[in-house]
Amino acid sequence: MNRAAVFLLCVAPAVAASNFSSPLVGLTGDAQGKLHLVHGVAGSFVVRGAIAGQALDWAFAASGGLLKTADELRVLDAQGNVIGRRTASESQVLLNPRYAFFPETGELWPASAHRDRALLIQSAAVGGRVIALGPADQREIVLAACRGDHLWLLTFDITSGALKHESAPGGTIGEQACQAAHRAALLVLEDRVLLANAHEIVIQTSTGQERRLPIPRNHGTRIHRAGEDTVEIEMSGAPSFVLRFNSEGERLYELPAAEARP
Amino acid sequence: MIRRLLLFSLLGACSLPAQFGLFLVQNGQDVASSDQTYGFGTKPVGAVVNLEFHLRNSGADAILTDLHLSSTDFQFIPSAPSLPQAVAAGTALDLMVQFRPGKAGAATADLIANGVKLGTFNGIGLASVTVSMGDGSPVPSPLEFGSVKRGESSARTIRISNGENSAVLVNVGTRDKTFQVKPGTSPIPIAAGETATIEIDFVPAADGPQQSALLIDQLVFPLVGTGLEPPFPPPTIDLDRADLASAQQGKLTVRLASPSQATGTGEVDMDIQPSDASANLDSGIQFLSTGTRTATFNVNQGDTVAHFGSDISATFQTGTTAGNIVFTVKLGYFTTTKTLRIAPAVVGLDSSKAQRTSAGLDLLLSAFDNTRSATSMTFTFFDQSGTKLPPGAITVDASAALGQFFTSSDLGGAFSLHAFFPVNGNPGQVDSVEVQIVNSAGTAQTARLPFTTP
Repeated sequence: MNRAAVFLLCVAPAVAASNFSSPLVGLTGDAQGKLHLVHGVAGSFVVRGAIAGQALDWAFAASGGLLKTADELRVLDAQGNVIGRRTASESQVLLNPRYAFFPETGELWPASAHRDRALLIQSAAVGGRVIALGPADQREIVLAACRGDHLWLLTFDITSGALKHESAPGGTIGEQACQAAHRAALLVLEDRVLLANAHEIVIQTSTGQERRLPIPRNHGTRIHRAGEDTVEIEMSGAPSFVLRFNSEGERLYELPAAEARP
Repeated sequence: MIRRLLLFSLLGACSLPAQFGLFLVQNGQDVASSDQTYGFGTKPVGAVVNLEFHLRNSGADAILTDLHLSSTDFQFIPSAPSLPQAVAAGTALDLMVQFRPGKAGAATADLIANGVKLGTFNGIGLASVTVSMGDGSPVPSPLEFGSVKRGESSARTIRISNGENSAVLVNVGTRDKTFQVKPGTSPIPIAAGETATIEIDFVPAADGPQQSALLIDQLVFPLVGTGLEPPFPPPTIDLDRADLASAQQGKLTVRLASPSQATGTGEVDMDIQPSDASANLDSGIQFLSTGTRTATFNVNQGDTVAHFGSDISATFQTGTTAGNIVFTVKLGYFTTTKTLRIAPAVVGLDSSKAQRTSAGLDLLLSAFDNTRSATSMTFTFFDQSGTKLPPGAITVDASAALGQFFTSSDLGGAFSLHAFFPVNGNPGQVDSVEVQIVNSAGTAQTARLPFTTP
């Protein structure tokens, strides 16, 4: 009865005018490396003007994201505004929306913290080469690493840096993710792993099932975590696509041209 | 008399033919041809041209016993020199040679003196023909063919009459293929007193004014015409689906009724006629390749479908506004439209995120209402066993707040709702929530959205 009273008191402010806004799908990059906000809903996207230029890599979700330029890491809030900067001249940085990992030093840097407070991931625990950052929460983070030619998903404790769990995805993704041509095209999400190649996106669910989505044939595909439930498929010489995903599956959409926007 | 003839004979027997040289007299000066050939030019049959020559003796005194021309087209005038004739050393004999072509075509004659060829005369005789239009009227200058579409032709008939007493061969042609002579064989034989008819076709291969000339032997008749780009065939608009609804992407193809004779560009525009005249701007309605509501396409000769870059279709978004999306294709003189009806629909849910925080429950919904008429929102919370938490469904009127948002939005009916529900107890007891949104088309209900803890 007390719980019911609490809900009743809170409903009215829950739908106040200020609580309605333009839905933000996520980010997209253009051919010049500039990042743009994407508003709208699936199938009705609107690409806005550039919010930042010359992004070498980026990752974004509902809570915000990270953007790597030639010499900086920039922290983005949930609306894509830059709310923090950190010098980072390293060319090799792996990103997810909340963490940056520097393979050369093994530093794992939380976007919300000073770099001095970076966590060190022991290379011995990795036992190979980290090629992507997976999802993270307040307790742990997943790193995708190649041990030889095999892909491993390693779960580390955020606080101690200890390796908590490791698994080796099988299937096409397990076989192909560590091939040189695919290193920039692996994305580890909470409940699935994506691998892009020249003509398709291979999706492996947490149960090990794989499905494929064809994409226009191209010479270089990169995939970014672009929003809470959005992945951007960036293809050389072709329009960008976004993959929207939920518990029921994935669907591919073409994005409007970003180059036309100021 | 006998003694003088003997003397001439003696002198003739002793003279050397090589002593004679032939020179053309120009401006009072002797001019020698390096190859001993002298041209008399082109003259109509029966016309004359006279040239003066010197038969110069550069040796010792000599007797000219023989002087003649090998063809009757060339004559000495007023008459041939009397022979035999003494030509003293260093002197010259004046000769006037006349070319009078007796028939059309090339004529030539050698000048022989004392059995030696000293020079060759050339000339061309023009057929004595009359050129007129097919109706007998004079050929205008220039002969105008008017404006002709590329791929089509315009013809003019020409008559060539032979006024000679003998058959003639007439050379006929034009300076380029834009104007074509039919029949294409040349020369054309025309019997004495007869008339040949030819056709000149103007077949433009490009736009704009074009010039050429009809050549009948040495006669030149200027020809002019203007090429026109042919019209495009009528376009039609095809959509890959007829049942497109809001928030969908479709493909538009521009088809042509027949292979295009023309090459050029066209454009297709899309516009929305919203069911609700007061609807806000919907930027989601656009072509993806341009990010705008206009896309251009190319049509090449022979195409039966337009090309959008390398594709034969343009992908577009239907946006989130109920009404009619009108596609307008403009190609050449044609304007074609096609209307895609977007029916009013219940609110469509795009994405959701339900999270527990230490202070309560956070709900983020992205959705669209293509009618902009949403009124009530109902939230129903459930515990882990699926039991509704009291007081059950909680309904609030969102029409004013949502309407206020739409007036400032350019995203059509798309909106995001961020609702926070403070909880005094343990938020972990709340497992999920269902949301119902009512608009003029009906009631939309989400699936049960589970709360997660970050």
